[in-house]
Amino acid sequence: MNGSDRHAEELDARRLDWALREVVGGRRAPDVTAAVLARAAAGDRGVTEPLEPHAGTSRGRWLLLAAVFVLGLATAFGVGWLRQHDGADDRREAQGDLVRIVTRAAAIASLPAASKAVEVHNLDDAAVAALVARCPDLEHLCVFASTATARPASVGDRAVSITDDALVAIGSLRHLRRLELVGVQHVTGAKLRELERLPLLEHLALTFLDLDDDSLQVLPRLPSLRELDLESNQGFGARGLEAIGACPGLRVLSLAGSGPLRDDWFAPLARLTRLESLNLQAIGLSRRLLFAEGMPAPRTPEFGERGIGVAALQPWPALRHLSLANTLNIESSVGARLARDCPALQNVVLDVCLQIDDGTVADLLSLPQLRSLSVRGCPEVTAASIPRLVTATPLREVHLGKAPWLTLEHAGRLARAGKRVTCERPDDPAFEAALAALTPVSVDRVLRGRVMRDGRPVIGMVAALYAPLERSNGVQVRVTAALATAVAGDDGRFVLTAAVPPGEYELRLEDHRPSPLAGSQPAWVARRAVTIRDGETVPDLDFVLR
Amino acid sequence: MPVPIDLAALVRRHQAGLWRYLRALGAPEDLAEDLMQDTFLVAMDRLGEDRGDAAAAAFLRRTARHLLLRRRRDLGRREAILIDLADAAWRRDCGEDDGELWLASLRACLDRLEGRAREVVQRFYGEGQDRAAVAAAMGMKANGVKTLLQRVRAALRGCIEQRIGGAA
Repeated sequence: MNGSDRHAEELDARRLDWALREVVGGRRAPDVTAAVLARAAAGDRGVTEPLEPHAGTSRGRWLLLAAVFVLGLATAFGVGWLRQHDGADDRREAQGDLVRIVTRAAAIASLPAASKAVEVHNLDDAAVAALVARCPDLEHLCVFASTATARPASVGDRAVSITDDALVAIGSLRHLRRLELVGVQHVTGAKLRELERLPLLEHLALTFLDLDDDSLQVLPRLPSLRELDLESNQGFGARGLEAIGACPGLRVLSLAGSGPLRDDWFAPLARLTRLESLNLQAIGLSRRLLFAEGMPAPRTPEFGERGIGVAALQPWPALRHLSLANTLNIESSVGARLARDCPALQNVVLDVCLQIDDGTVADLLSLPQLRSLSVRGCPEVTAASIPRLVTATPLREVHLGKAPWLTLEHAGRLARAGKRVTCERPDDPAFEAALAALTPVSVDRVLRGRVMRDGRPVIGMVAALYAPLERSNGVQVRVTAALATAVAGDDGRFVLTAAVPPGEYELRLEDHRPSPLAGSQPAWVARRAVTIRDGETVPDLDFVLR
Repeated sequence: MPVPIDLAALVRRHQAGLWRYLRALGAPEDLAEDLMQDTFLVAMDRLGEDRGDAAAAAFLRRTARHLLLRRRRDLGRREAILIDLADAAWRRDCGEDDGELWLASLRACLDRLEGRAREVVQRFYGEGQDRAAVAAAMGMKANGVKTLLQRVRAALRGCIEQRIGGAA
C-alpha cells in the first residue's frame, strides 16, 4: 500500500465515521446556540492566542514577529532572573498543573494576581471576596470546609463555611470553568442563581451540603455545564431531578449519598442521552462523617431506608461507567435492565447490592463492552458465576470482595483467561499471597518516541507517564507522581517501560533542566493522551517542538 | 449599509454543516463541539457584517479548519496533510449543500450492504461498539473486524463515487 492509498483510506475512515454515525447511529450536531451566546455575552472571543492570517505572511511581518520574539525572550529571561520561587509556580499553574491551597485569609494578598486555580480551606465570605478581587481570572475555585471528611487532628483546623453571600462574589468570576463547594453547610442555595453569570462553567460540585429543589433550578441555565457532582446532598427531590434532566449536555453526574430519592422521580434523567459516567451509590444513606460545631445538622435518613430500585434506571445509550454500590435493595433484575438499556457500559460497580445473584452477573456479562465488574459484598453471587466470568471475552477485571467460596483453582482459571481478579481476605494472608502470584496484575508496556525541533533531535527531555488526575472525598488530587520516566538520548529518542494495567494515561514531555524561569522545578512542555490496550503495541509517540 | 451579524441566527443556520465538516476532517465529537463554539465566536469578532450565507459558510469552514490544525499540531505534518486533503474532498463533494447529496448516496449504498458487512456497520457505527466488542459478538478477531471495516468503507466509497458521478 503506497502513501496515497493510506491517505485515501484514512480520509474514508474520517468522513464515513461522521456520516455513518449520523445515518446509522442517528448522531446529530449538538445545538451550541445557547453556549455561544453566553460566551459572547461574557466577552469571550473564542481564541486566547492570535489567529494566524488565512493568507500568506509578508516578509515585513516575519521581521516584526522576529523582533517581538527576541524582545519578549530577553524580557522573559530578565524577569526570570529577578523572580524567586513564585515564578516557577506561575509557569506550572498556567499549564493547569497546580492548584494553590489557601488556609489563611492573610495569604490571599500574596497570591499572584494571575492565579488560575485556587482552593480555600475553612475561610469565610470576606476571604472569598478578597480572593475574587485579587484573582479575577480564576478558572478553578474550590471552597472547602472541614465538614466533609474527618479533620486531620494534627492540623487541628476549624470548620468554617461561607454563606450564600459569597456566591455574589463568585458569580463575578467570568472565566470560571470549575467550581467546587465542598462541605460549606451554611450555603442554603438561596443565591445559587448568581452562577448564571458564569458562562464557561463546565464542572460544578455542590457536595456535602444540603440544597433544596428550588436551589437546583439554576442548573438548566448553565449553558456549558458538563459535569455535576451532588454527592451527599440530601435536600432535593423530584423537582431537583427534573432540573438535572433539563441539562442535556451533562457527561458526568454523581448523586452518590444523596436523597432519599424515589424511583419514579428519575424519569427526567432519561433526557441525559450523552451521559458517560453516573454514580448512584448509597442513595438514601447518609454519608456525612462529621458535622462541626456551629454547622447545621445534616439530614440523616435512617440507615437502611430504601434506596433506589431498578425502576430508577433509564436508557442511557452513551453510559460507560456506572456505580450502584451500597444500593442495598436494588433487585436482581438490574443486570437484565442494564444489558438492555445501557449497551455501552464498560465498568459496573455493584458492591453491597444484597439482592444481586449469579443471574444478575450472567445478564451483565452479555454487555458487549464490559471490561470491569465489581461485586464485593454480594452474598448471592457464588462460584456458579465462575464459568461465565472465564468465558466473558471483553472482561478484564473482576472484584469479588471476600467471596468465601472462591478457591485458588477458580482464581487460576480466571487468570489463565486473562482476567485480573481481586479477593480480600485479610485474615488469610497465605491465600492473598497465592492469589497475587496467580493474577497477572500488570505487564511491562514499552512506549517509544522521539523529540524533535526544527528537524533536529532534542536531547535531555524527560518523557513521563502519568495516570489521569483522580478525586478523593470531593477534593482533586493535584500533581501526581510519574509512573515511569525516560530521558531522550543523543538522537532525541526515548524508550519508556512501565508496568501498568490497560487504560488511559497521559505522556508528558518535561524539561528538568534548571532555567531562570523555572528554577529547579521541572515543567512540562507538551503532553499527549496515551491509550494502553492488552495485546496492542502503542504507536510511536513523537513530539515536534516549536 | 452593512447589516450587523445576528449571532444566534448565524449559529442556527450553520452549526449542522460546520459539525459535519469538522467531523469529516477527523475531529472527535467533543472536540468538534468545542471548535464549533470557538469558530462562531471568532466569526462574531472578525466577520464584521452579514455578507450572505455562502460567504459566512466559507469563513466558518476556513476558521474551523485553522482551529483544528492548531489543536492537532502536535500530531505532526501527516495530520496537517490529511486535514488539508479532507478539506479539499469536502469542498469537492459536500461544499455546496453541507453534504446532503453525498449522504443520500450513502444511504442508497447502505441499502445494498448484506450479511456481515451490514452487521459490522450496524454494530460499530450504529451501536457504538468498539472493535473488540464487535469481534466478540461476530465471532471474529479484532484485526478481522478492522479489515472488514476497511473493505466496507472502500466499497461504500466506490458506490458513492459511482452514484454521484452518475448523477452529475
